[in-house]
Amino acid sequence: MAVRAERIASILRKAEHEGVIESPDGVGRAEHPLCGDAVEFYISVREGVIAAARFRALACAAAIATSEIAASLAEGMRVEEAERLGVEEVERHAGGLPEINRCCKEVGVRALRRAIQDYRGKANT
Amino acid sequence: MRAYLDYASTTPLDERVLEEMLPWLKEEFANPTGIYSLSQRARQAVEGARERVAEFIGASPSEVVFTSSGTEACNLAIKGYALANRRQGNRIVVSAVEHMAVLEACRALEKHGFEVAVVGVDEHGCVKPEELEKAVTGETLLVVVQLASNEIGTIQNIRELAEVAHERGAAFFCDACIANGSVPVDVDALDVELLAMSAHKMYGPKGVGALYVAEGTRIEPLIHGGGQERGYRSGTENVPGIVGFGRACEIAAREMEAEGERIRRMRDRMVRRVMQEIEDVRLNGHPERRLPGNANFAIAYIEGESLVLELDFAGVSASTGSACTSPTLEPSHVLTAIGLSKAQAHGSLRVTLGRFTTEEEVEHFLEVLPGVVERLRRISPFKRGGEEYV
Repeated sequence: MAVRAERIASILRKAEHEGVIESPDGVGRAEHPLCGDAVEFYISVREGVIAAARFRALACAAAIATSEIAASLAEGMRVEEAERLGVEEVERHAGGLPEINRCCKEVGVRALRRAIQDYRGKANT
Repeated sequence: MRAYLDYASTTPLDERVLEEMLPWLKEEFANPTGIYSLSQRARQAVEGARERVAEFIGASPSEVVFTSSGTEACNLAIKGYALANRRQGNRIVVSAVEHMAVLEACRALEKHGFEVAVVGVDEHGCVKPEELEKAVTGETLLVVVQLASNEIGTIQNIRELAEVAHERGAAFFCDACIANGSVPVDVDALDVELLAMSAHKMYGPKGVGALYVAEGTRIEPLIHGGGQERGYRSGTENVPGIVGFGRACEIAAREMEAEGERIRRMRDRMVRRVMQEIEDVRLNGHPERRLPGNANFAIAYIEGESLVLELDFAGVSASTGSACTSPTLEPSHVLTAIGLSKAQAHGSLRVTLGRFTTEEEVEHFLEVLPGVVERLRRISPFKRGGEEYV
């Protein structure tokens, strides 16, 4: 518990991607089917690159922390690259999160993917 | 500043209890079963503690069986009674807000052919006698209701419920683990056959509990061996733990009333401030019939696990019934039993005060809570008047 709390604490204290983007290019939400955790991602895209990513969450600390990392990794990535961003990579950048409720950690990544899908849908219309 | 506000989880060991335990951890190490003087002193210590525990709940010493925990006491009560009395029926009636030690012990009996009926509660967590009447059939051999809830603090009217059980020929087991030491417990006044206790919920050590078994009540032991505890619970007695439990009961008997008043006043002030300073908060549990140190809030639009961790970062130890803290990812069964939606249970926060809680600790909690809630609400996709989250 102490290890988990400290690692998550350091990520949460440095969190810079919580919030929303006004007039985003893509918005996506993912919810956990059991516990009900919800994460909403907003992205803005410039010339195929994710210029900004923000998220809001009603979720456990692990889900918030992984959303923060997903957002910071996605920024500067090409859209197709960000779409391939996996939970394992997010965890690796977090310095490895303890194995708790793995599915909670996936909510943020899934929300990001949905925001990208939303962007693609809009871009194709 | 650190504020420990999770007394329902466990209480710190009272220094006076530790002091009385120490010789039994050091030079007085003998097994109480021996016949030499060193052992006999240990035997006397165990029996002295038994008298103190018995006196605390208005029982005879011969009616107290020491166990390794409250959980074991609950298991011994439920399984022990069911196995010893199965000719009287195969139905066990249990309230929906019991501790998992009770619910899982009942579920384990289902595998052995027992039928378990769960009785719901009202919005405050109270078992209604009329609901119990419907559930207790002639086949019922045991009714199980806690004295108070460790989560929402609601205190049940056990005497009234026990009467329903007795009228239909069933025995009554009351789990008093969390209530013991906070409110008076008298087995005659409650009119129960079995009652479980735990030392670490009342400033005693972990690893020791007790079961009251009314004279004439038959139970089967669950742990077989050398025949300690009159055969009800084999295994060398935890002498220091038992001695500590006895001392904890003796202290509680003298100090509980005044201590309860002090804690209740602090708790009430804390609840008022939380309700005033934070919007969209409800108090779970009964508004009056509740343990003096218990407060349980449902804070809308946020999640309890991240709330508890943020509070921890701010120096406050509290707990939550959020699904995210459960291995099954299901919200607390107690919170859903009182009618909370998944979303309301998600934002639950249990704050429990006790003997060593200071005004400064409560003040610290009250200072940090609004900021933590505000931060989590700021990042929440759900807002007041916004999209409904259920």
